[in-house]
Amino acid sequence: MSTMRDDYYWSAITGVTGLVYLFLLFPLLVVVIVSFDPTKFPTFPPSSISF
Amino acid sequence: MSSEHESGPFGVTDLVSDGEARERFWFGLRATLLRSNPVLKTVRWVLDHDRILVTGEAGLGIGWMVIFLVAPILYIVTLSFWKSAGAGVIVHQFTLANYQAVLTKDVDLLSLHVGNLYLNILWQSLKYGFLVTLVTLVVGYVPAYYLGRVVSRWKALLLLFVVLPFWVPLIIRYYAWILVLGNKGMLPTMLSVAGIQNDGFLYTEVAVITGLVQVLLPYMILPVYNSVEQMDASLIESAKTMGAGPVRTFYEVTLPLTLPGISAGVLLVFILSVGSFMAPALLGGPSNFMVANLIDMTFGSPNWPLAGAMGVVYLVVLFGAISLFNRFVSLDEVFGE
Repeated sequence: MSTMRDDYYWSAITGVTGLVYLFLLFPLLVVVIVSFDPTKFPTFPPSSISF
Repeated sequence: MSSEHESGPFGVTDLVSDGEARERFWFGLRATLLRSNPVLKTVRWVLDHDRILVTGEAGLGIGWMVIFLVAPILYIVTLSFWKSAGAGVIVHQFTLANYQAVLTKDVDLLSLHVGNLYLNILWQSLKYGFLVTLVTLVVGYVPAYYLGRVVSRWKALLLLFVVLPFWVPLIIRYYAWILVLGNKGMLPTMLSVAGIQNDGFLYTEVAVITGLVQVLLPYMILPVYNSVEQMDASLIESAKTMGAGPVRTFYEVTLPLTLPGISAGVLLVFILSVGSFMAPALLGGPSNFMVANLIDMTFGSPNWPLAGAMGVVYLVVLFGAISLFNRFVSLDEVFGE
């Protein structure tokens, strides 16, 4: 039987899990975004975008 | 009175059909060939003696370990007792000078007395290893718990996301952190906009630990997730029914039941982080060097016997740390013995 307090804890666990996933996948996201940077020495976030 | 079949020249064999007779003929021929061919006889003999097969399998495993694990370590140990004549020349004479240098020699860098460089860096490596393991455990436990208990059709995808970083080479992930933590990177820029002045976090302890935690997080999440999933969920429900709050349920039910996963994760993350080479080399400065960096520099200097002695001392210290860990958490239980 789920109580309101359980729901509150489960929501907190879900939120923290989301943040940890963001941290875990963040470098991959950076690599994908930087791959569109036209400059020789890329910065994050890139100043312009190129294919 | 006997029938026609029974009174025939072949007696009862006359009752056997043509098909059965053909089958018996081929079976007899195969048996004769097996008996006569020495190779087949040997194969048959080996197959009949299970113990030989088991010994052979064990021999293959042990041989593999000896060639690829024991022999290289023995070589490093032997190397550490030889003399270095400089410029990469190794003199095959027994000496303890390398160990003396590793354990007692103080170093002065640019008139700065830094004490025993190796022991300082070894201590720093153990400290980083402890910090990374602690942060990884705290950060990784929550998603592992979530993955172990969630009922969702997206669960497989969520698990895939945990191992997704492994698909990108390590060096690229560290370069991504350079872009984020560097002087004009995303994080320092955001902090500057918020009014917090900073010079970036690259080449600091924070950068090394952040990079290592991100890289080693899956090694903590996966074993803990495995423990959470194997846990009997009805025990949590029972604790709740008996009036235990979420915090007490966690400390008295969930945490003890997930201890094997925690121990496996801690062991993996600690060993990998203490021996880390790339994170301190790319994200840290000279003051953040770890033992692998120093050993690499010594091999390149080139003083292989001294580097060998450093490697042996590192192995002994790491073995001591794991033995200490084993005193608190039985590794036999963790690995199911």
